[in-house]
Amino acid sequence: MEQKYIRNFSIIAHIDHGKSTLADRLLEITKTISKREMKEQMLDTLDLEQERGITIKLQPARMIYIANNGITYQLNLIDTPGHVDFTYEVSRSLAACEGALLVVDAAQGIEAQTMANIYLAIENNLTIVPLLNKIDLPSANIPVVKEEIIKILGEHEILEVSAKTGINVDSVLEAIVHEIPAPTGKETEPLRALIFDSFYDAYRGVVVMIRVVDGSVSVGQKIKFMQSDKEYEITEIGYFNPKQVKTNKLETGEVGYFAGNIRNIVDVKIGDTVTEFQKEASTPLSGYKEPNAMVFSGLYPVSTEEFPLLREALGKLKLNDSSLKYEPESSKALGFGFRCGFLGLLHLEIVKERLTREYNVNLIATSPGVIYKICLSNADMLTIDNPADFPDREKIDYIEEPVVKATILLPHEFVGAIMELCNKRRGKMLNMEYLTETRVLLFYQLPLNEILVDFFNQLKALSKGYASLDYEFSGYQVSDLVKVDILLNHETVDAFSFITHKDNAYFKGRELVSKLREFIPRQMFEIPIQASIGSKVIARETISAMRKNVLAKCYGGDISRKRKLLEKQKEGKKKMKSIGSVEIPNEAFLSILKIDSE
Amino acid sequence: MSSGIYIHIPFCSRKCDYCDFFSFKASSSYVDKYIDALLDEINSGKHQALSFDSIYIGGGTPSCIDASYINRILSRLYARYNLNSPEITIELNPETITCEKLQIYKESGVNRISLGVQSFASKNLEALGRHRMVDLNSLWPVIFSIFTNVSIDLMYGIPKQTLQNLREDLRSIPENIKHVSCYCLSIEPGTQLYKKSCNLNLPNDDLLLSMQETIINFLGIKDIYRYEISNYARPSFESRHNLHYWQYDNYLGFGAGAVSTISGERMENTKSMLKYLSRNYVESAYSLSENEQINEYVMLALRLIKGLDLSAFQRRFSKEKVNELLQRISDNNKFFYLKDNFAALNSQGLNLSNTIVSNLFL
Repeated sequence: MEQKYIRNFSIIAHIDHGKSTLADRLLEITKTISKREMKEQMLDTLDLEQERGITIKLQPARMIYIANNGITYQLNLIDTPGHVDFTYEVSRSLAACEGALLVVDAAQGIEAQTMANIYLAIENNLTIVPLLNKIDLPSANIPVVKEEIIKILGEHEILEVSAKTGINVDSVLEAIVHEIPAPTGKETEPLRALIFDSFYDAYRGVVVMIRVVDGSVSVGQKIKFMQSDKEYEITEIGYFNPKQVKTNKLETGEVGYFAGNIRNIVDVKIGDTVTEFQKEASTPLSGYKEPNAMVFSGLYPVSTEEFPLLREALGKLKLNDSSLKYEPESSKALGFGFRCGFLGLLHLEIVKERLTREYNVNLIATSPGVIYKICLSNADMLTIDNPADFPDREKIDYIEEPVVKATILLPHEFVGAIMELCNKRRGKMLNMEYLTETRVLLFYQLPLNEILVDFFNQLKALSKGYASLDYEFSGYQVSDLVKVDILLNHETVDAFSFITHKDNAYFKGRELVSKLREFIPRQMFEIPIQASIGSKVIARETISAMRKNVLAKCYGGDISRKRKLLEKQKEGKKKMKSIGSVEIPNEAFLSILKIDSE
Repeated sequence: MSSGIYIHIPFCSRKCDYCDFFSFKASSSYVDKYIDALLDEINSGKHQALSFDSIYIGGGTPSCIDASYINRILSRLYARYNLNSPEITIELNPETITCEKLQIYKESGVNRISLGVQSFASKNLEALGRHRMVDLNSLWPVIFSIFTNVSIDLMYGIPKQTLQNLREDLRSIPENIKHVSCYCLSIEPGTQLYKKSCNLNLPNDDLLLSMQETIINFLGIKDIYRYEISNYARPSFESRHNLHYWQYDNYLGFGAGAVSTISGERMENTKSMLKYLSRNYVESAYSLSENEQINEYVMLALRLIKGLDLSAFQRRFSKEKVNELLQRISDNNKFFYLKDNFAALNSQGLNLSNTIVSNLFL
């Protein structure tokens, strides 16, 4: 189709603000999908995604729309992954569009993540079409929410819609046609297509989702990925409706997918430019970044026999998730496992969750950490992501830790509680803005390692669920950090070591030691639990020895039952991780993830 | 080698709050039919080739049914089995004792009685959901005029119990008693006490261990020695029947819910009264694997203060298994003492026997 009849757009919305319902309505009105097929559309998502407020990522869809002016348009919806950890992916999806629908719940108002995505859209020069959804709700507060939008976007026409009942959805399609600009690619130039997503298919290999910017692409063509410098021959081309529909060619400005028997997902980098082999474009599309792992954790199987299972499961996850990094490591306490790198906290949780739920691996995760830059007294620089590599204190000149800029949007009555939370986490307030009379935007600079553990939950708890959070990496700062070791029965358990700010070390050490005392069952000998910085002990608890565990009676009638009882005790012990002579249940390893800072 | 016979009488006057045994009311019309079924089971004469040197009539409360039933049961056993001057014990509830009853027991061959006293203090009995209408002090002369081999069951670790209170109980034990079983109260799921257990005010582990220490010392001075985790006896008055269990000898059980173990074959009778009355005695029968037998052997033998007879153990099981066990014993050696080819738990080990035994399990 000619470019002037193409519109490429995305939908920016917070979870539950009605993105999928609106998309469904658009598909319905354009007769892309019949009402009957509609029901099957609901995508499976992890509960976790729901809990943590990630919007469901929709399949791309090409819609054919005959506008009120009688002209037929091709509308391409490209959705964005909805979470803070995936900002880069979001920005690439947005870069594939010329415009975005901003969907805001007329009862809830704007949320922090939505704000972040609006800014990303503005950075990518997108035309934003704002609309209020759920205007039919009794709790809808149209004037106030409009005021919020205007505060962010400036004076703007704002559509009022109910995606659920269909009120005014037609006007959304008209707005897409008339407000969002058509693509303006160069049809005769060599191919340049932007990769905005990919997935792995067992038969076809990696399926690459692209937006053709310049030139065109067709089956049989030899292409090259400009960043990864890999060549492939295209075996299949298609578009989404939202099912995959095969075609022969994608023209300038169009959106679709191709496959080329690509077996290694690492070759397919989001943001990379696809060009024609031996007829290469002179420059790639701008904005490509190598996604960096920000958060690290060691993942170990509870039982050593499950190591191959874990390796296989990680391999399978990696097929669809090129941002997941892992390499084998071994811990004195936990045996063989993997040091894994994640884009952020949520990414870590999703991976853990999927390993447990989909692959049935019993996991122990070590305390999540970040990359520290350490300058040694001999002026050597060291970067570490594992407490095990932390050098002796005497050898350290200074340490730098990563910090993020956090945006928190919340009702004004919770500002005090949330500011206190951020202060406890060593946050520095950068700014505070009233979005409306009752809704406040807080901008904080926070050390990344302070928001790794339990920050999001606390934020939600302290604001009755109303506060929303977004953050982006903003650099490194010098910080007084120490490594805290935990000793069980006088032996250091490397898996429990963590790096923290000196001011928090005492509290966190005490907290962890007392948690461990709670979770480690009494054993036949006394077990001292200590937290130490270097050789200095900062906290100590003792698990007193078990003194009595005996059956009062055992006669002829109950021998079988009592034997089974003791066999069960023996099995219970097997499920625990044995470190030195101390048996540690899995809950103890989880407890380290739940230490709150004072 | 001699074996034991156990007879189960599943009737009681009432159910105690701590009891997880299965039992029926003695007034029940089932008693007569039950005894008929029981006599038939004895008549079937399983394992007649064995010779037996102990009979134990337990329950329930065997003394709550008519004494003539006991007479019929014992006559039947004498008729069908090869009994070699057996120790014959019956469990008695103090409430049910009469001079006539004791006389009939004695004439029927009973030569040892085990009295379920639990405690001499009414406060303790109440805490256990029992009460006693009879004065034990007036009963002792009657009992001792008929039986010399008398055992009593006591319980400690009762809700709100103190060391002082325990000492009073111990002082109430009559001088000429031959055997004492002293059980630490354990709250079993399904019992009345279990339902109340959250607000029972039970003694803590440290107090329980002091109580046990007190019992050992108090009885020791009276020449009554601990020979099993919960059992104490004057020399040569250990319960011959119960020693069969702990030494992993063969035993035969008759009655509903009774269990037999003969050379590694276990048979469990049905606990259903109706099934039992219709002569469907056996609920399940299975062979124990060598590992299971070894585990049970170890679990039982280490209850004895003298410990596990290593030479008997070696005769019974394969060499490789024996070596594995010895290795595990030596891994836990701080809880053992080895003497005259016996491996026994020391006092700390006895208190932790569940943990240690499960460490030894194959």
